[in-house]
Amino acid sequence: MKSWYLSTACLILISSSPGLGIEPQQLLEKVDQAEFAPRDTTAEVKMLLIEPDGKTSERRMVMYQKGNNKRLIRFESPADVQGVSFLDAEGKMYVYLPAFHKIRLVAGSMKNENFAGTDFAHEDLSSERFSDRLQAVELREEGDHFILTTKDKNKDSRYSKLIFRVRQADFLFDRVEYYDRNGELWKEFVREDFRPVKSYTQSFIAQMTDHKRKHSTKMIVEKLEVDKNLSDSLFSKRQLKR
Amino acid sequence: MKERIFRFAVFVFGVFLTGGSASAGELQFNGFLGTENYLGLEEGEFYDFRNANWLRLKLKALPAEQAMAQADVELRNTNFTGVKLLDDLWDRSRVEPVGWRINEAWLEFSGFLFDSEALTLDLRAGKQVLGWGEADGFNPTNYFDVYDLENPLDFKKRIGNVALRATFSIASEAVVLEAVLAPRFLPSVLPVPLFLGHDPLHSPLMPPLPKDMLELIQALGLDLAPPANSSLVAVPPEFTASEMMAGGRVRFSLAGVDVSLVGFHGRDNVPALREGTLTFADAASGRCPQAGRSCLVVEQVRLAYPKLDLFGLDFRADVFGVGLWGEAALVFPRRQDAVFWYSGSELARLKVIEDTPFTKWTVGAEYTFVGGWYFNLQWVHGFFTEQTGHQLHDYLFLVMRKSVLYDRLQFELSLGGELDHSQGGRALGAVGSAEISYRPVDGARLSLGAAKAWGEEGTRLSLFEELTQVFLKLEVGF
Repeated sequence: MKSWYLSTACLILISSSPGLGIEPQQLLEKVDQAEFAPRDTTAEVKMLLIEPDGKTSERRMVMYQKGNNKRLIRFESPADVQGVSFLDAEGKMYVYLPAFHKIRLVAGSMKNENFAGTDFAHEDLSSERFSDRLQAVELREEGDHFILTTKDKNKDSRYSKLIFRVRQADFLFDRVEYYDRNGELWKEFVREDFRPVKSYTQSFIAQMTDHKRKHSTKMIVEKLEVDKNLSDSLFSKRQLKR
Repeated sequence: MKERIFRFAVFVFGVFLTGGSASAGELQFNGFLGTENYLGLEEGEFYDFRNANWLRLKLKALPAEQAMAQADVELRNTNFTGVKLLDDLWDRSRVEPVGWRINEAWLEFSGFLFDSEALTLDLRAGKQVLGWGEADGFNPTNYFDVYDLENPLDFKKRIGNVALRATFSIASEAVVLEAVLAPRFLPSVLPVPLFLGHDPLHSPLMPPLPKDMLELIQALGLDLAPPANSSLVAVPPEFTASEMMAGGRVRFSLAGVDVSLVGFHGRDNVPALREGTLTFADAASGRCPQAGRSCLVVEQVRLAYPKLDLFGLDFRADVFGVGLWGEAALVFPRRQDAVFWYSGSELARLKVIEDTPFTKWTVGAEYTFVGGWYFNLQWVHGFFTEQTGHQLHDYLFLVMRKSVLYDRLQFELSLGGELDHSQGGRALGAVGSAEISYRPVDGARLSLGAAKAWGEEGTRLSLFEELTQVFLKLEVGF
């Protein structure tokens, strides 16, 4: 019991960020507001899978997102992944595998594994709000960025902490570091080429690097549309097969 | 018939190409070119060597937001020649037969008549794979998608049937109702030579013959000669409205578990014995198994596809990170008797399919360990060739898979075991295969593997013993 009090006290101590004018959890909520600001997003993305020797594989996909609890990703090329789709909606993740004509619920153990050869684990593709998934524990300032350390609320997650570098100007993050259970840097997600799209700011180039695999996945947004009033029915199992 | 299929293929291509020129952005196209080679290592008649080469084209057209059409057609040839007569050597199409296959060709209208969050109706018509059932490969609730066992160990490969499917989504998929009508019957593609072996009378496609008939033949001092494979006839059902197959499914989620309830009325896609004729053959005829002894030869054997109804249930859930599924079918078979004739009179009658309901089921679990090792374990009660309650054997299948080198190299090991209690005793069987796949460049895959089966007498897996083989497959997507 005593140790529980001690850890809670420590958490409160490191959670408070005197002088910054904002609490860590408040900042995480601000990040959510900025990241999920568009009502919906449709993006056509070119994806490059980059191996350490420079060998590159290209894939194309379409991503749809609505609010903070619906995301659908569909691969359009090459032939061996065409039609493979991923749905994250209402707290469940599904994958459609056209070769077997089956929609499969993604089991928890699979969520930690990479999705379709990319450096994104299924759980990285979750559309859940960061403030729902993560507990902000530490905040500091670095130039014109906030450095926000968070812990995953899900005990099954293979990440011990995520460190966000958040732009003070618009509360969008341009880098996230993913640390493994041993506290070592595992993955790094970097976003750049921020451009205005309607009244929002969106990143057009993002790269996830897996330092253990020495492999990267670069995403280049070729077309981005926001607030198209996407229907809820788009984020359904019947649409996974289309 | 071939000409009709070809015309249909041309029509399908025509539809897509027209759609493509009208709205090029709405047409997706890809294809695969592949070759596979199987080399048998066990002495036998099945696949000493088999080569197949194919060009597969997939087309998806989205002419409007609410309409979609898809085709999957394949041009394929194997090393089996169609030459029978000397004159056939002049005909390239017989020397090296090439076949068109239409794996899928369908049109779908989304939001047909009803298109709201509360109720949506999707209509899909054409040749389609439904994909019903949560189990991997062994789906006791799905008789619409028939097995394609051209590769006898690929239980996941299915052939779609021509069907009309209506899907009602209620309250944003809180409940989904599906109704399917399949106007024609389609049998499974089966490795018949492998299943029949050297003695069709002792194959899984043949029930044990009536004891009194065998005793009578023995008392007469005669032997029983098995039928030649060429004298076995599988009689398809007639093309009548009453022979249409129909099914329905309700899908919903209950306490986080995805559940489906299924109903089906139709026929099994594996045939069962219906009748045979016994003919007396003199010892000197050369048709009897033992020299100097006369025999009765089983001839004109006819098999039919048994009628059945079923109610099924399947589920899939995530329990502490483990993917769990189950699929069960309560089968109500129609009784099917086999009659043996001798000199125009009924010699014996055998109950091949009993009208007693029975349950077939598959339960399974999958888990991915840290480091990427994927395990898939399934318990199967009732093989797809087992058509009546007391025949059901139990099987355990394990698949282990691991990818390395940025998913370029993949290892897969599949193991299966069989336990047969149906004879009153206990017979065991096993099957195993290992495969290494490598992607040297993007879109290309090279697979090398081997398979071996073993089984005690009476087990289904013993039927695959002749399948001991190594194989090499190459596939390029574009």
